[in-house]
Amino acid sequence: MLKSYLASLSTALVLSTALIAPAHAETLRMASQGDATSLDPHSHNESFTNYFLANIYEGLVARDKTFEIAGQLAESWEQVDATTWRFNLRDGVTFHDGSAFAADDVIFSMDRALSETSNFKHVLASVESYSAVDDMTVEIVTKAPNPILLNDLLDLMILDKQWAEANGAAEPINLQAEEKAFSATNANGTGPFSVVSRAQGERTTLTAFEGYWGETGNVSDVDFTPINNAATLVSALLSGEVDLVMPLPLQDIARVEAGEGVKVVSSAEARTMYIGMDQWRDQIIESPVEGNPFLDLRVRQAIAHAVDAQAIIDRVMQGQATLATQYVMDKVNGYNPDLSRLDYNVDTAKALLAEAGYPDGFELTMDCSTDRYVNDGQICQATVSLLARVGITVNLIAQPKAQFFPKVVAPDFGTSFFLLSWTPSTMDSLNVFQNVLGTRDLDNGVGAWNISGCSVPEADALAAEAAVTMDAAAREKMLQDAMALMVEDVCLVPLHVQQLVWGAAENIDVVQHPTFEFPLEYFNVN
Amino acid sequence: MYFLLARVFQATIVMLCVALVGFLVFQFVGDPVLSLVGQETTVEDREALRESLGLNDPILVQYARYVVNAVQGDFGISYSFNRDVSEMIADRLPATVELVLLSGVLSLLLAIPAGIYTGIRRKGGIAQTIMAISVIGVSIPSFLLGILLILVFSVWLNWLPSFGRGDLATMLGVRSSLFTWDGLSHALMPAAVLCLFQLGVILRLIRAEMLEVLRTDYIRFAWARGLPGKRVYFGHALKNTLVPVVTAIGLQLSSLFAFSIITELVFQWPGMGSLLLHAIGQSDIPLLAAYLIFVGLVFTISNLVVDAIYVLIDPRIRHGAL
Repeated sequence: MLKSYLASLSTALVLSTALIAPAHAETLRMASQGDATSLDPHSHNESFTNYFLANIYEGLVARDKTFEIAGQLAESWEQVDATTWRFNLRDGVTFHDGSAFAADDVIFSMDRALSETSNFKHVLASVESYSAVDDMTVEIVTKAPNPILLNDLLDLMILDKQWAEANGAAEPINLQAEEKAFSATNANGTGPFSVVSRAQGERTTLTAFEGYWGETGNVSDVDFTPINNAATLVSALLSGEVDLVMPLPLQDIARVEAGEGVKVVSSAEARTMYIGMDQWRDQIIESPVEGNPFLDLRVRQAIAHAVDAQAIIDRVMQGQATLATQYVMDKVNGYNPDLSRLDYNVDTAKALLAEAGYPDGFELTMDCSTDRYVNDGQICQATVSLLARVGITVNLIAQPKAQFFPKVVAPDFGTSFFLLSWTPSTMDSLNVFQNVLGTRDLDNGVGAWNISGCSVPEADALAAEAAVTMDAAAREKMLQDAMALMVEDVCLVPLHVQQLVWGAAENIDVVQHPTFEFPLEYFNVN
Repeated sequence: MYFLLARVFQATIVMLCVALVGFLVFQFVGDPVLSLVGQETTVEDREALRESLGLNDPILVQYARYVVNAVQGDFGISYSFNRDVSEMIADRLPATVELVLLSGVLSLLLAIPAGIYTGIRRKGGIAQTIMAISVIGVSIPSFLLGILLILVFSVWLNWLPSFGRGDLATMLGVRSSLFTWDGLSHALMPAAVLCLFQLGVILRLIRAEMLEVLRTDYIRFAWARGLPGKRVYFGHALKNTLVPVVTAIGLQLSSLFAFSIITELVFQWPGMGSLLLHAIGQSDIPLLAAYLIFVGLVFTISNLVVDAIYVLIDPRIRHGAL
């Protein structure tokens, strides 16, 4: 026993001298309610996992500190013609294990992202072919002109070919394969941080990569712990055991604001919440109503007039959200600043319902998750009482996401009235048209999340044109016009854009992006 | 020997039933495919993954395949961790074991003397105080007690860490956090929460049994014979209270194993309980199934052990009189 104490004492001494040695040596202790689901950058496409890994792995391009797309492993690029892009790779970049980065790593990573078990095939969906021109140049040819190729490439992380092949990780994790999934628990990227230890669900430690090519803040070590319980998470921040918690539960904002040495950091997130209404069935489900009231535009308008989104923001969201006028937030390309939302007006709503033949309202069922979005269950409860004021009786099915999503997503789309939200991962509204707003065409991968089943062919045409238009200004106009058409048709009832809310120690400088990224290389400990 | 073999056979049947019930329940935990893929994955890709994981097979086929593999020690790969399930459990088990041991030992050390004392001096002030505390222990839900402890000892006083398992050290080939100060300070609050509930239950049971036995005729005769108090209380009374007490302790300790979930959640203790919660959230069926089987196994084994202890402490069972 004495021996082990002495051993740990001497380790502690070594560690403390090691900590003193570099000029900037600061440990950032952070906690979140979830953990990255894997260290494999092509395996699980889940936002927290992607952004956690973006500290370890890098792509050809990335968002810089000001949220603009900038070169990362690609130093520069040029368009040879409408469909051919040439990327000049950055010189002198090495992976964490010391091996050099070159074009074959990029080609290998693209092959890997397209392999059977990858969850990132969509990133290269527009790409016809790719090849290495020389050791430091990669050429990508798209099927049609793709104005947002760079946005698509943001999520494509680059691995070391030799490392992956040597460790049996040439393909993303295959759940059927019996071999150990090496890349799920080990990582070798070019990013500013490398993995020191990894115990999923317990603790992950990172250390600043000494051979990193770029500028970084002063964070030298990262100690990450998932803390599932909200009360424990906040206590850990208040007692000074962690420096950063994300996200901070809304009900604890006041406690953190009142606490000493801690602060609340918040900014708008790219997630727009909305209510969806069945517009594709002849008979809505789980309702005694005959036929489908939502096929009538006046009923959809009535719902929009009846739901007091500002009250939901004030009461349910504790002010931590902004009113949504459309289905994307203002930092997303294609946002239309001229649009406004239908005002909250019970009388207008009632009049519209009467005109549509429902003077006494009707009864329907609403599906809602309770553990996916910020206060999602309470938002639905508020909606139920708001709609009761115009005579619409809502039976709420509030359920965990594990039950909610299988019920409402393709292929069944088993709901006629629901709460959902979307974050366009490319920060371009085309992504929203392809997934949420476009007329459902599952065989061509359009509208898989168009659970409402709404359809505005004119908007579809505009979006399709925008997808191949290289002129940025003309393209943006098309997307804005398409958005105006969707809003006019009340495809969905927009509610709010939620805020990213973090709790941090007073001496921590963070950078927040609307996509929930946490680029630790820009963080500082003062 | 025959007795033991019969019990082992029964235990096997129980385990098969546990696994079957588990599999039927898994139909309702949600769709694991949706927690595996991202929002941009196409419908066909999702369907292909579902097919390749065998989730489209009838439930009994999935069950049979699972049992055949499990008998060979293969519990499959966790969907959400991409690791062998048996490896995951082996990773997390020590954390739960040390919590259970620490709280079990604490509660026995406190409950047995306190139970005897309150049984003998049931009107005294100290006994009344002990009983009052035990009521609190039984009636306050563990998540509330845990949060209270964190608030007082971590946030206000800053004495103890609020979450996680501390540093590990190896002693006699066992790697545990109980061998370091840091580890002990992390384990203290969760162990106290688990202990307090056990303490209340065991203490009250011992007290009730003592009161019952002390009223019987043979104790009166023992007093009449002029035996010293020590012999009457410990030699005659306590020994006869032990059969129900041992049963209760056995069940309590195994339930600590299975249901330290809430305490592990509150203190972010990386044990089996937090693993289970994660598995439920992700619809991770291989992990859930293995957890269920493991808990079933713990209960079955602890019942076997309790049965064996009966034989030791009650001569009537040994001689077949009961």
